[in-house]
Amino acid sequence: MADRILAACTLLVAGVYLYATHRLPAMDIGDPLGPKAFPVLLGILFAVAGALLLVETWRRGAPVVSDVPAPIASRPRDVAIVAAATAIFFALLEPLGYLVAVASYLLALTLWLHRRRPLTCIAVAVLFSLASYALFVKVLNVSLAKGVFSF
Amino acid sequence: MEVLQHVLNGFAVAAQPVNIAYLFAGCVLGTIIGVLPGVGPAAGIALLLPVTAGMPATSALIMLAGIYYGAMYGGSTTAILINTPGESGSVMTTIDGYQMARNGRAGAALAISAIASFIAGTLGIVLLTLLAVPLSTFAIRFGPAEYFTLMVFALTAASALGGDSFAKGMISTVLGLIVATVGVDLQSGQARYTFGLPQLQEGFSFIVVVVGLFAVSEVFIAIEEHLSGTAKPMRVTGPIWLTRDEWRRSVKPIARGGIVGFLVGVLPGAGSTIASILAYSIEKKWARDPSRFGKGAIEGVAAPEAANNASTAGAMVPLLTLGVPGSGATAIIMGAFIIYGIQPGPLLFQSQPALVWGLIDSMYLGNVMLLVLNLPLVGLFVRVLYIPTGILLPLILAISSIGVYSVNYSVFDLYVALAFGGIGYAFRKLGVPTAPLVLALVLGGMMEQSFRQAMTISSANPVIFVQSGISVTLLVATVLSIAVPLVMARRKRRRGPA
Repeated sequence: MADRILAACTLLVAGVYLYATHRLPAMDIGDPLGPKAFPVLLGILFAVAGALLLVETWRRGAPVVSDVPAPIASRPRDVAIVAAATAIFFALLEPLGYLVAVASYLLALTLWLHRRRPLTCIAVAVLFSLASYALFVKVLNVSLAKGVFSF
Repeated sequence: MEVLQHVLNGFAVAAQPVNIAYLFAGCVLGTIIGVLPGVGPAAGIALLLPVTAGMPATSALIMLAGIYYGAMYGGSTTAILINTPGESGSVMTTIDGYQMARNGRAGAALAISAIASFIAGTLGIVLLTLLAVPLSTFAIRFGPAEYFTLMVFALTAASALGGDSFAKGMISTVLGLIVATVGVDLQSGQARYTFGLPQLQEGFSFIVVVVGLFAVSEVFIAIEEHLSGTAKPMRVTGPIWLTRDEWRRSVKPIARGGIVGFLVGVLPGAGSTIASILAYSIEKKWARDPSRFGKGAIEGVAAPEAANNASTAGAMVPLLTLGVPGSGATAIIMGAFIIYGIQPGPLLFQSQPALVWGLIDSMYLGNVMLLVLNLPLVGLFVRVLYIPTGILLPLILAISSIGVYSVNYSVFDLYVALAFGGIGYAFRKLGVPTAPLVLALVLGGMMEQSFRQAMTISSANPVIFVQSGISVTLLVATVLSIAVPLVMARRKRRRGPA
């Protein structure tokens, strides 16, 4: 089932890409093909790949036996939580500044993933954000978002 | 004789104190990245790319290459002690390595993987040294049409060999090429697929995409593993050394694994994982008593460990001599070359001999360092396994974010990295290989350029792609790279479940 969804997404993206390519203004000065020819080829190939996957899912026979150990179970909900937390961290990075944003992000994630030792989590969050800020700003001269602090 | 001179000059470069220091840093970091489950060499190199920005090019490339092959050494430690591959190339080492550890032979398993890695890794570099000049001299004759067909071959082979489904490999490859077309077209100056966003004028930043695709998505997978509960490392008891019988049984598997690994490494798309799977199956098939495999056979550790190290040297061959990488990690190293304004390929051996030979020779020195790090000092790296993953994974996400942000000081880039992290996660779950995407991304621009140059030369007549013997050979190889795995899979399926 997942493979059919992937195939459908591929066909959809191929369609959107070909449409976007079609809408590019034609400028073929200097070379006979212009900026559209290669992308058209790619759009068609992407659609072919999606169609091939559909064929593969229909024709798949007995699974191939292999020596490779099986992977672990999926937990998409937990991954979505981490991704959402990361997106919130990015949104707050410039308004709050590097120190506050990184420290709170680390604190939230470590408290969730390493809940038995809250003190360790606090120490890691504070020390990492301070040490990395000092390393980047004072030693490597990389300017990071200052936010609420002015140093 | 000329090669010998180059090799000697290369050692003079590699042995400079600053390069030795960066090589050592690369080997230590590589071993740590290898030991850490969930972070592979591609992710490690991607994470360190932003840090290398201010470094001299030779030193930076020596360090990044050190991370690449160093990770192969470290990966086996995790495979043996907690039955989880530290990086995907050591997946086969888990089978017999963990059983050896359970039988109280963890020391022997660690020793044979370090020794096999060293012997096969060095053998691979010798072959790389011997092949470099003839191959690059040959490749100098390549024109745009030959380059285009070479890249078609590399990408097709990567699609066909990267996983168990050709369609999925192709989806990954073509998506990489599509991502590469975003931004201003170099020949016409026309902006393509930027959707009016000024941040996309120059296309997606390579570092941002690879950090997302490898580092972020690997952390997502590692978080799943962490929440599902992880095993405690086995204790290493007794000396880290082999008995005479264990050594005698390992010699031939190391030699076979080394040669298989090197050849697979040279092939585009196959990489260290396939090298070690193939080496393991060969040993199992050729063994007098195959039933010992899976129960702690030392050959089952020696062969795949030899193969994955030799494959890293093999993978450097197409990157350095042709300028066309064959794996995810070497594609990122190629990205590093380009960031430094250096185009890898045949001309590099003439224009920058000190850099290329310094890099190749540093790999000899690096393997010696890694042998020392992974035999007497393996106990130090085992401690890395005791770092709680619940703390480590958020730190890797934070470090990835700082790295991405420091490229352009752009929050937009951070979201791009997160999005590619999501794509990488979905790809891993769906069995779509990620290496072809990054390979296509790094080659996409060059591929379009050579395609258009060839068509300009021929006044838009596609016959140019079948006019030279080299192009025709490459196109035949392209067809074979699709056909051979298909035929083999069909034969395997016909034989049915064993």
